[in-house]
Amino acid sequence: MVNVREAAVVVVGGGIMGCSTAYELAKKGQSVILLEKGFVGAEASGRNGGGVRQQKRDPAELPLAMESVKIWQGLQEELEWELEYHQGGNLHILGNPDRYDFFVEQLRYSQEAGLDVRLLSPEETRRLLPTLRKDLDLLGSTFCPSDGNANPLFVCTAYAKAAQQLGAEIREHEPLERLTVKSGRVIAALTAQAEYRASDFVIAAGAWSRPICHQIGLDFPVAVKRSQLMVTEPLPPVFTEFISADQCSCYFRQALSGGIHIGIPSAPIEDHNKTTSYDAFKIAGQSCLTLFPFLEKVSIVHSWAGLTNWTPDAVCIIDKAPHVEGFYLTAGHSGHGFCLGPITGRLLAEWIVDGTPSMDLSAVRWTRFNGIDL
Amino acid sequence: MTQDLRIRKDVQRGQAFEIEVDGLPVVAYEGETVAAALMAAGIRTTNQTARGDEPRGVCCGIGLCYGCTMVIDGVPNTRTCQTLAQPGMRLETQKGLQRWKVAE
Amino acid sequence: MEGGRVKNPELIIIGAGPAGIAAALEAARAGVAVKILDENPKCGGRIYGQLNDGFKLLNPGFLGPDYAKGKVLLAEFDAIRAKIDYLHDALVFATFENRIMAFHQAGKGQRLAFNKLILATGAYDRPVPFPGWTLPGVLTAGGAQTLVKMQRVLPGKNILFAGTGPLQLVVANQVLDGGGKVEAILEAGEINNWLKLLKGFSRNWGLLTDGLQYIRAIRKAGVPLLRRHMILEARGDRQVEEAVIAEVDKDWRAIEKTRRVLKVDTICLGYGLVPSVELTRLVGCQHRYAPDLGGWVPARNEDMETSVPGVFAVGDGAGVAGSAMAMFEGRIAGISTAQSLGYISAEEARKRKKPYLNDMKKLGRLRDALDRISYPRPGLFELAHDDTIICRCEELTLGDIKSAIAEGTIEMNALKRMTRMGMGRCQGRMCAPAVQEIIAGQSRIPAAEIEYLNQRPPTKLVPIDVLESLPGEFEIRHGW
Repeated sequence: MVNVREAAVVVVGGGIMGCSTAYELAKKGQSVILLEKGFVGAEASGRNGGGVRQQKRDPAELPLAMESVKIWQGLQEELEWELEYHQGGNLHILGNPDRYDFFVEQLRYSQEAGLDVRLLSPEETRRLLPTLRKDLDLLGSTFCPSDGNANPLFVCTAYAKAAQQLGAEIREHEPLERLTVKSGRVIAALTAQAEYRASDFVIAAGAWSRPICHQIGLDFPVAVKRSQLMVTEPLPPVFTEFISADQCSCYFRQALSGGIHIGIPSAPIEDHNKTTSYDAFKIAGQSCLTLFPFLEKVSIVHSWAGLTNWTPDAVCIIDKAPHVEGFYLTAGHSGHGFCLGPITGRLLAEWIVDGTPSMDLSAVRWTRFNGIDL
Repeated sequence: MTQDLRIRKDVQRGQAFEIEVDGLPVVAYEGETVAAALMAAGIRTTNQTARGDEPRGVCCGIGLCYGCTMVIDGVPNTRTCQTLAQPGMRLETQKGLQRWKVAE
Repeated sequence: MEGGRVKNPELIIIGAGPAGIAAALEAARAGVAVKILDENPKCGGRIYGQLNDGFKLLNPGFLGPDYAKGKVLLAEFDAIRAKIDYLHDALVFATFENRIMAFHQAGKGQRLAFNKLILATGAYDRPVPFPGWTLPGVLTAGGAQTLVKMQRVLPGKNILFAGTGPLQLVVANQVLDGGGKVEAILEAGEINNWLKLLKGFSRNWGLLTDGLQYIRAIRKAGVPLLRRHMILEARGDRQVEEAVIAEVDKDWRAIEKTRRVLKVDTICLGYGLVPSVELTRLVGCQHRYAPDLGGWVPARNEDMETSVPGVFAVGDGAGVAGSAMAMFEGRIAGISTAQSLGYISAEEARKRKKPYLNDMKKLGRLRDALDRISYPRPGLFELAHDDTIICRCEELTLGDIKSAIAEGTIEMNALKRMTRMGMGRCQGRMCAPAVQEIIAGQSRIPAAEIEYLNQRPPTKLVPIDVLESLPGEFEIRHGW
């Protein structure tokens, strides 16, 4: 006897994309069931650096990021949850003459799109960041004051709880086994517990998305990478900015709890391996001392890793399946999807309920990969 | 010398010297941990917590609990039970999160 | 006392307490190239630890019979030291994929590949949250022992011991021997049964005769040894000034009308030990929940090998069973690795293991008997009030933990994310064992079925400059 359940929409994946989609759908009065293989926020959405950034975005994602920040600004009130979101700015320190023009060009089109992003001189950069190594060679920095960061540990739960209050059902520890397709339409999602029937299905399963898409004969180029982070013991407030630099591999953010989070660049990984690596520890040590000598005797307390999925152009996908009805996908966030969570959920909900999203998503379709060797 | 909590029997201590705790001199002996010298002198509170401003002191004695941390020679969060006392060492009762000195 | 030089060690041992040393002895004796890393300045671990430089030992009597036993083992270790690469002050803080580990010594980070690995990481005092347990003046019995034995300093002027099992008796004795004042010793279990058992076994086991001597000395000093008594609360302005105690029932729940107050300035807690399984967890060994052995322990076969091939776990770190058992386990693991590396035949290994296996069997029976008495009862985990701190680092109260559980967060890892429980500098050591029992109590899920916190490096805090000094070259790379 199969237990059959019905809803207007089934969302697969309890990360920030899935949870915000479930919330936005519930807000529009839709009945929603969200299936999560573990617990909400257990994967990359709860394991990332917490950056909510508009600068240094591909032109395809920039309008989405800017629109998303507008939602972020009111999100704590909307979800009634302290998300530790604050607009402390995003600072990228320039130190590589070969990359200088690239950043200046990014700055130009971002400003053209209406983003307040500035090119700071070395002196202005040091004034903003007095803890920076005194003898660091720098050409200046790009600074976006309205960028910020939030605590990734809370965002998914906040969305999920808010969605629940609006009637959505969040089913944790219920991994999707397979999708049922009938006459060109996805009709059901099967788990060990039940069969969930709906008219629309949203796949927002991050690094686990690709095998799900294979079930409906769809593929897209995406590589799973491991992003690693570590955190220091708590310090008094040192900087509010989310910081990256040409001079080192890592990025930095100080959480409200005081720990400095150190992000290590993503690298391809097999078998969904979420351990942290020797290399990451060495790279973190090097990066810290390159920028911030005051961290010398400060200790690392914890490290962790999350799995991100990357497209060839490092731009995300928000799209509908071209050949199967009722199948929506958002994936390929390439290590910087956290910021886009709120807007993605809203657009998908609009698309499903109103028939068309309120923003142009043509730049984030997966058809752009047609012809790419998978 | 004032009465302290040192056990004098069965061992002979090495050289005595002074360390400074919140500006006041405290006696320590070669081979003693900072925690032992403080306990011997009856100094119990090593730090005040960041949120509740509660006093904390030596608890596990083996470097695991981080109850006994102080600012030692300018370095915050230093475990007194894992640090050997050295002549002239300067200790401060740590009040919450303390700033690390910026090098250079 | 440096170790010998060993090129390309075939066996790495972490921890130079009784278990690690015994393992090193047996393996090196068979011809294995052994490297042993210990975080302490002197070998011997917590039980056979030696005094710091600066102290001169005039009379070893206060160190107790353990000292004599330790001396025999340490002499054996000394005799073969030239064949063993022994690193002291070497703290292993991580293992990684592909059998790599990292440690630091004298501020320098080091990388080390391993094939055969014996983990002998020991145990630490069980943290037991109750109102006032964070006040200065509340120490663990192990912490108090370190002070009295290794530093020759009394933990206070008027001391209360509260706990279960023999360790607190040993420490109380050392305090008395050092001229300290013990107000009372509270044993949560039944001492009478305990004594009967000790008597039954004492013919074979010197250790237990020692135990009886301790009890006699305590009685002679006029210190009340109160069975079925526990501490309920520590009170005081900025430090311990008094202790609220009471008689407890067989489940260790207070009998309210027996509540009374003792004027003390120091409270030593000896509720048994918790195995340090950070490294066995990090290496990926399967663990099981064994409250009789202190909590989570790695599953092992009769050779002391864990579920990860070539990785062995011995001593209290693999299940708290005391130093005698630790030594036997160490010897078995040392012999097993020698055999698996081809230095001795299976027949020879069997021969060498036999006497230790026999001894272990005898000791095992005794352990079973003791466990029945000192096995923690549910009341131990119900002492905290809603405003009692559970996670000392993040200053979270029982109320904070309970409201997260009430919201439906009944997994340790999810609870950690919601509350920050276990995210502080003790890395969960001081709260997680209690939180596991709190979740079990609140949710009615058996503790054994509650998945423990994920283990990630570092297993001990490691300074940034040490990381920077790790070997390896990496080019600057971006992308997140």
